[in-house]
Amino acid sequence: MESIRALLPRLTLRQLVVLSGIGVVLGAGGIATAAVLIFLGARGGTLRPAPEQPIAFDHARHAGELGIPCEFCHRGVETQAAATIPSLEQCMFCHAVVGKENPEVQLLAAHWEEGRAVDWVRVHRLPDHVRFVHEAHILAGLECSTCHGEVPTMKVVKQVENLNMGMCMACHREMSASLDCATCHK
Amino acid sequence: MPRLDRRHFIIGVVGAVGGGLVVGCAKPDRKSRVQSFVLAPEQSLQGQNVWFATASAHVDWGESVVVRTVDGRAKKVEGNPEFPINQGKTHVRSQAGVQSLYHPDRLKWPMRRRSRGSDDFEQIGWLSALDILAENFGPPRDSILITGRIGGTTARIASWLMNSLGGRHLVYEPLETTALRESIRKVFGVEQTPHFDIGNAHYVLSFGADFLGTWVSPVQYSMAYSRFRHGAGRERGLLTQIEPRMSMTGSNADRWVYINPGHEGAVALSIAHVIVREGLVGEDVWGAALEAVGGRDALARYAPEAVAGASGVSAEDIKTMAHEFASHQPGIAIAGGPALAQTNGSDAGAAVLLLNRIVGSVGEAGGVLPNPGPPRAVPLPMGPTPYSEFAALAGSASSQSIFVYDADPAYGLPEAAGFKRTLTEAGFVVSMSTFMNETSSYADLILPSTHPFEEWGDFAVDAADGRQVVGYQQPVVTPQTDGRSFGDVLLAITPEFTDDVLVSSETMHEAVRLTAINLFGDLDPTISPDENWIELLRRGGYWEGGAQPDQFSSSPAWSIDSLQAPSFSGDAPQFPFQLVPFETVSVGAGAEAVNPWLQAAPDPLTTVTWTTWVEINPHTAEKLGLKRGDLVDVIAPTGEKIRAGIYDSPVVPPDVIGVPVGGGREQGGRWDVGQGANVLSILSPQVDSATGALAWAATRARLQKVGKNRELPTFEFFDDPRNDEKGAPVKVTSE
Repeated sequence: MESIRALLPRLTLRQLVVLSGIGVVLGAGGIATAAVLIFLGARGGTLRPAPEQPIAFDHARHAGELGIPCEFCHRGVETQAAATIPSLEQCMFCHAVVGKENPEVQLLAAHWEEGRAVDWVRVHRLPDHVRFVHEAHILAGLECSTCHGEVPTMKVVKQVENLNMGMCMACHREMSASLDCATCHK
Repeated sequence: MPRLDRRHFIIGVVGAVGGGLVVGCAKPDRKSRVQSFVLAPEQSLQGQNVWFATASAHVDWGESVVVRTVDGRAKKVEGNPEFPINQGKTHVRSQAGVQSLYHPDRLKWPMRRRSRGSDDFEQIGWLSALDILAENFGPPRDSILITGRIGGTTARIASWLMNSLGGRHLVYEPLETTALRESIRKVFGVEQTPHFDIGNAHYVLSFGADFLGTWVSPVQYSMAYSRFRHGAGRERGLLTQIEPRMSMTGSNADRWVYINPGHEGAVALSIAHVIVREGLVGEDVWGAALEAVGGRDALARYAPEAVAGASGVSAEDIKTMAHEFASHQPGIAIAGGPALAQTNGSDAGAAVLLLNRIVGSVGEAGGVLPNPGPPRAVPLPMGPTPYSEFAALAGSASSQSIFVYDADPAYGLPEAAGFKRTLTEAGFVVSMSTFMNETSSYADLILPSTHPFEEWGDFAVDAADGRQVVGYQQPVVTPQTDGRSFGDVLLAITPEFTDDVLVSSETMHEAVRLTAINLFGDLDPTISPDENWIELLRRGGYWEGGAQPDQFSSSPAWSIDSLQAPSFSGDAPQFPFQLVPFETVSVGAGAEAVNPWLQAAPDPLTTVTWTTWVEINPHTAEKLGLKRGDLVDVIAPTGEKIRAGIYDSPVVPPDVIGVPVGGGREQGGRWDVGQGANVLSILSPQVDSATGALAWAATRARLQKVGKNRELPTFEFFDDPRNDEKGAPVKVTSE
């Protein structure tokens, strides 16, 4: 004990208690302030710049210039929870013939030849405790662009809406959809 | 080590904590990746379970399962809750369906042998393979198709092909049930297995039929047995099991009676004798049936006292069983396993089944009921071809072309049958299977067949529940290999041989779909035929209707006088043991050994896994100086022998040894080749005199000590009274 005391400044017990109290108050206040600032400043936590994809797929070319409907490739969107990423086989329905001189198409064809899946970087992602079903939203008449923005104008797709709970709630209120917690939360 | 003072110690601690906080609170990498499929699975809902009803991959008695798939991968097999035969339950073998589907040793593409006698195969494409098949299978050679017990549309297409070629179709079943089928034909006058209504019976008298483990339709009978024992509002049914080696059913019986093999028929007739002599059942019940099989005079020879000596069953026991059976009606008498694998097998079976007519339980609830038969377009699984026809192939092998599918006679037929030599000498051999097997190792052309979870099919249930039961099989995943279904291959080559069009479809999918729509397309008139077809697939099949009571013949077409004494291969002094091969619940007759789950599933009675063992009476073992795990050679009169470890069991009679079948595979997968020994290979070619079926329990044997001990991999630990894990043998595979 003597050796530890030698390291500390000489304080009376009263001074020690007061200093400890000030420390606790400042610490708790700081944490609370930081939490409030983080909460207020949060934008859903998922709004990020457009990621670099392993194959530079051009949505503006396919969905914009060529006018291919979203659901032509994202075939699960009307029937299941996930909109689904198209299989390579589906890409190759066209690209076995079309655009073979394009280096990105050649990269795609190489994956197809080798039977190797493409590791796409996910652009939109909701937290694990949310159950979002595309089918219900599309059948309710929502446009893809409501959540995903004007993808036909995006050369590289990025997230444009924050997709936080406030956005979901606002839309559900407007559309008179269910506001029960269990509707969306697992 | 330098001395650490306080100052540096505190600096170090503060630094470590600070560093930890910085790293721990850093922004996490939230980049998430998502993979696209190369080939999108059909009907999948990404990340969600999709269930498909289809046929079980590993049982042939007609079991419908539902397979849970996620993103096109089969994950788990469950019983189809609506299907009447298994009602949501499965046999243990069915569970292994997903394991065999993703087995790394599946045949992946067609292969051609470069030269006879070598193991040098080259990979070829399907177009070349079908060309080779079409060129070599038909005339001028004699075409012989050997399959397992196929049925449904596949069997129709196979018969179309073989009729076109004028060839023969042999159906191979390792522990063949020809004798059972013949005895059913004789006593009830039907081809289809009747409905043994165990669930409503008050007494079951079973001669060697392991109906809870392997006999005919064990899942259905196990559920019925549950009702038999403790169904609501009924008295507990009584089970007597008479057999030369205790089976799983025997271990559940109220009374287990040892019998010398081959005397089952005599004991059954002796029970009938007591019932008739003592008038335990009125003559109006049995009079006509007994008259048809020879009358009281024929039965007179089977007094209990006369039968007791040779059979090993005491006269007292026979009388007790007769009294119990007669007084607990409705009751059922059944026969199977070693009781029918004798030189008098089918007559012994007829004698046992006759008991049902003696006590009047035929056509009664809780007795033996007729099944209504399948629709004509979906035939029942074909009955096995007797062994004698396989043995006869050796005569003209060089002029034959042999096409083997879903069968492995080179493994299952005794060496004495000379079938391997037949394959070596045959003009052309093609084998189609999911895995390499002994037969395919002799083939000139090997075709990979799809797994049952990858194909279309239909099946009618033989041992149905009194209704017409048809099941459907659909692919639950896209094929894992470049395999094709047997039906698709036949549909591709048959038009090469004939202009007659029996099945106009080009694929099994179409053939099965059109057959189903023709049969059941208007089942629900409010929806279209195609929607009815989808509904059949969703439910897994169709089960309706009932049998007419007059489907059984009015009286048996059999004579008591035809029952002969059994004969055995090998004389008793030189070969002191009766060799009783038996089928285990999990590995079966060998084809399932490829699945490690099934190899590792313990035998219910001995708990042995992964290997072959020799069950022997403990006193006999002591007399011979053998203890558990001692290796012995089991030598048959043929001179053939196998090597396995001793398992001393008090429920094996002194002059009997029991050996499970299914081990000792030389070809297959990485987990079955070299495990255990193949007892079928050493059997003598004894046959049932009435049918030519292999009498696979009519061989005697002797034991020869090897002088080594190898601990058996069991789940029980007799050496330790506390039954803890001390000394527990653990099976470790090399993989």
